[in-house]
Amino acid sequence: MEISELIEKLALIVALFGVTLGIAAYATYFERKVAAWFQDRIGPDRAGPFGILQPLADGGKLFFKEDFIPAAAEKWLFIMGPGIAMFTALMTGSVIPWSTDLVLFGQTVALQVADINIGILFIMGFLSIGVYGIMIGGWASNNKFSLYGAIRASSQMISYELAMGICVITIVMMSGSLSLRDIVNAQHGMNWNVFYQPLAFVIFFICSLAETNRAPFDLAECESELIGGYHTEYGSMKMGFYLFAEYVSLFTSSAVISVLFFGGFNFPGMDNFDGNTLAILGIVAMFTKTFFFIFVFFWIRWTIPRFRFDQLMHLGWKSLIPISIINMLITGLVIAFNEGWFK
Amino acid sequence: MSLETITTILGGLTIGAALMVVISRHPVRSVLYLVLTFFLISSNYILMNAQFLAVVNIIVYAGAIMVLFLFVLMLLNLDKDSEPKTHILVKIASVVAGGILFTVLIAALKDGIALGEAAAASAQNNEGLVQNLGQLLFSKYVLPFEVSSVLFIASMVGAVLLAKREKQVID
Amino acid sequence: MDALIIVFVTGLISMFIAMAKKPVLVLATAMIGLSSALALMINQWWTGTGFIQLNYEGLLFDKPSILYSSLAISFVLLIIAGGYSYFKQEVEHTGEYISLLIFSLVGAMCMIAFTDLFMFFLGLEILSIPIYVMVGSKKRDILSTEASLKYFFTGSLATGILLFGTAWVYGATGSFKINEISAAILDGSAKGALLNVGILIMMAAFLFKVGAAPFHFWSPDVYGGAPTIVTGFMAAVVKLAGLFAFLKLFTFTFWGAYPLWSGALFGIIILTVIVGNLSALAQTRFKRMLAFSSIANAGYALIAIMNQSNWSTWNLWMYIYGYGFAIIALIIISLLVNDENDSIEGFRGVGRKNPFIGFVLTVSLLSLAGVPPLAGFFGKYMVFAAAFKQYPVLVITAIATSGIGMVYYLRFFMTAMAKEENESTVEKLKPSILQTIVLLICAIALLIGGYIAY
Repeated sequence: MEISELIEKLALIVALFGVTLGIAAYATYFERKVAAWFQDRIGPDRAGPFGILQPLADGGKLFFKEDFIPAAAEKWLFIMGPGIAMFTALMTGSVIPWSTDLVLFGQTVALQVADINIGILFIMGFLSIGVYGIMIGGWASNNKFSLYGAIRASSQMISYELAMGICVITIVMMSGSLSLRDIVNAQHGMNWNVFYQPLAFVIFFICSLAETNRAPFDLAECESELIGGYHTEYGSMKMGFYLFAEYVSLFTSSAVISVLFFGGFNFPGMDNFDGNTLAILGIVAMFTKTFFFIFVFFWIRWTIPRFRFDQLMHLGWKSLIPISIINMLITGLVIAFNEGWFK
Repeated sequence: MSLETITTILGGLTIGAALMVVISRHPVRSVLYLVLTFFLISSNYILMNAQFLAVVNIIVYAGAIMVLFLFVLMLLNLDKDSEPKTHILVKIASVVAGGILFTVLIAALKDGIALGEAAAASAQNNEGLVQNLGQLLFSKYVLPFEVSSVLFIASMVGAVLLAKREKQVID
Repeated sequence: MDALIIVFVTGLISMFIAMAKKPVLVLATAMIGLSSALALMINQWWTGTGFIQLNYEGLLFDKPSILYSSLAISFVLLIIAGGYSYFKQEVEHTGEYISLLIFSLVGAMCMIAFTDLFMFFLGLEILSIPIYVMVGSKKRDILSTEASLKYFFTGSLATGILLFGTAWVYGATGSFKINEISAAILDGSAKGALLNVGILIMMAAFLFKVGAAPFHFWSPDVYGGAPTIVTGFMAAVVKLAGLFAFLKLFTFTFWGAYPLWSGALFGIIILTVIVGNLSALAQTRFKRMLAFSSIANAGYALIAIMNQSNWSTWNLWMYIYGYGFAIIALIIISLLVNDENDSIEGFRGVGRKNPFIGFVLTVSLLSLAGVPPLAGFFGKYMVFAAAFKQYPVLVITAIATSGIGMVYYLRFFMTAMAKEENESTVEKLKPSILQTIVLLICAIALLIGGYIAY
């Protein structure tokens, strides 16, 4: 690997890291504003103009609180939990293609940290590992409410991963590749997957809600039953890591949804542009879609009440999985028909 | 850093993590070390250019099966005290038996050194890539692949049979 | 191959047809499906080809495989027909019970007809997993649950060890196909120590699966705890598949390494026959006695594996033929007696209550003990005679321990034929028509078995 390539990738990683964390931070602000709007309130407005410095104030508060570890907790696992949650949430962003190639200083820069040929499986892998952060944290706290939260989170995530995986399979069948760049390129212009796979999109979206532990599936931190759920015993920046990781995975799953179903950086009329203009417009398109889905996540959170746990399991196992399997079968049949297998 | 150094370090870490699974007294920690072992095994797969296997290993083993293990262990709430006390003679016997087996395996492995070269050669080919693996699975090995579905349906039926709640008979 | 597909489809259909909550339909499906599979097998035996040809060479139904598969299918047919009265007790689960047994048969057939280690391993798993479940299928019975858990833990450990051994063998020979492995061992291109360790580890796992002596500790508990009919399935079908796979893998594939494993197997057989027979003497429960007797019988059958001749496949088949039919008959009689404590005393006076059952019981016990005109005798005779020249000590030990075996079989026989103490409570044992047919078939098979041998 040449030095210039190394620097390029390093810069990309740092930029992605910054952008992800920045968006996650401002998502908290945005969410409060959205909630306020839905409930006919004003929302945060004290820190800076329109309360725009609110996330910084929150961060400062979390940093300066006492870092407390309960006496009965497993010390190292207690510290590891939030770290794992944050790590897995951040890793997912590394395989997402943000736009077409950018030419800078005579160098072609691919706006994707790593174009690996199993990109979508990589994301599924890190999603499935994300549950360890919650489980370890919940168990290490040595608190029964935390443990309940952890157990709920793990069973919920395993159940919804299945339907999610099956929806991903339908998309992979359509584009014939596991690489996210290939999947995006197959949706050139307005040829988005959502028009072919609306059902898969709906299921995938519901599963994303469950995988990121967002309302209406936030049973792992259901405050009316479990106090704070898995992070009951946490305080200070460890707590902050958990909260932050949730917003980071909110951002990355919105990005994944737009890549898989809404064409990623593709937009109608993109053939009229090329080079850096196209790349920049692509970034704009990508982020517009991502922000839209972040908004939809908030919208759902402040509209739909929380599920009961048995309802959650019924929905996952008895509706989503059978529907997605049928959807996959139909997709396979149509593809086989188009390839001329029945002639 | 050459490929060989990386292989050596990863191999050592893998063995170390696997040993910790056994040494660790606490069941939950054992499971967590096992998860770590799966990760390290996956990285070994990547070194052999078998990326699909690596990521599937993570998704299936680390991401699903181990979570269920952890789930059960957390529900059982085992800790250091619940480990059964074994008689000292049993301990000695198992150490002797295990030691003999270990010696034999290590001694036999010296014949396997030549195999290392074959393994190194396999890192060059692309059989582990998704496309090639799929081709192989659906042409040459299609029969075992399909027969494994019998295994899955049998285990699913079995799981339902064992886990389904029986209707309460009210006398 | 077509028979295998038919068997699998039968399992599927009988599972779904159970939704109608009519156990008779499930039984009929299973019977028809298995009989047609048996017919296909016989057809393939005569014509030499099946209706479906596959390019994949991992599975090959050659003549020995057809012979063993047909026997396995017949055993399952008899077990399902004879155990129907048990299966239909819980209408909810009849379909699952029967289909799990049939799926297990699919595994057994894969394990019989394999030509590479992939199919062998898959077959072993398909055979074992439904059995783990079926052993625990009496959910309210704590012994059954315990048996299931014990079998599952020890069984999966053995599977793991088997895989470990397979990896070593693969490392040494570079192939999963049994003919390539065999060739690599014979021409000396296989790496010595790697291969030896691999073979010995695989042998340990195998001995566990067939329940030979130092690896037999799971067997009495599992056999005793399992529902009676499942005990019969394990003793007949699982042993059949395990022993034939053992034969195929060791006597034919690892023949080049014979000096290595024959010594170990020699000691294990002697230990097995002694431990099995002596422990069986002390048992007061029927199924535990059966378990130890099956350990001893596994020991006798392993003698067939010790010596390679063109006849050892046939000898082993004859042995399992005699053993399997006798066990199935005994199991069905025990199902009829339905003694809660499963004690041998529960059989007291069975022969007087129903002379037909007494007759079948006599035939099967005598066959197990190895009394001349019956199939069990011929099986034992053929196995022992073939090995006598090479291993006189082994055969003499086996014959001596058979003598011990005779003691507990006859003791059981005496109990069954004895007079009931208080005559007034004598109630007749009434087998259903199906069970009568099954018992009749078993008795006939045991009686004429000797003529098949010649």
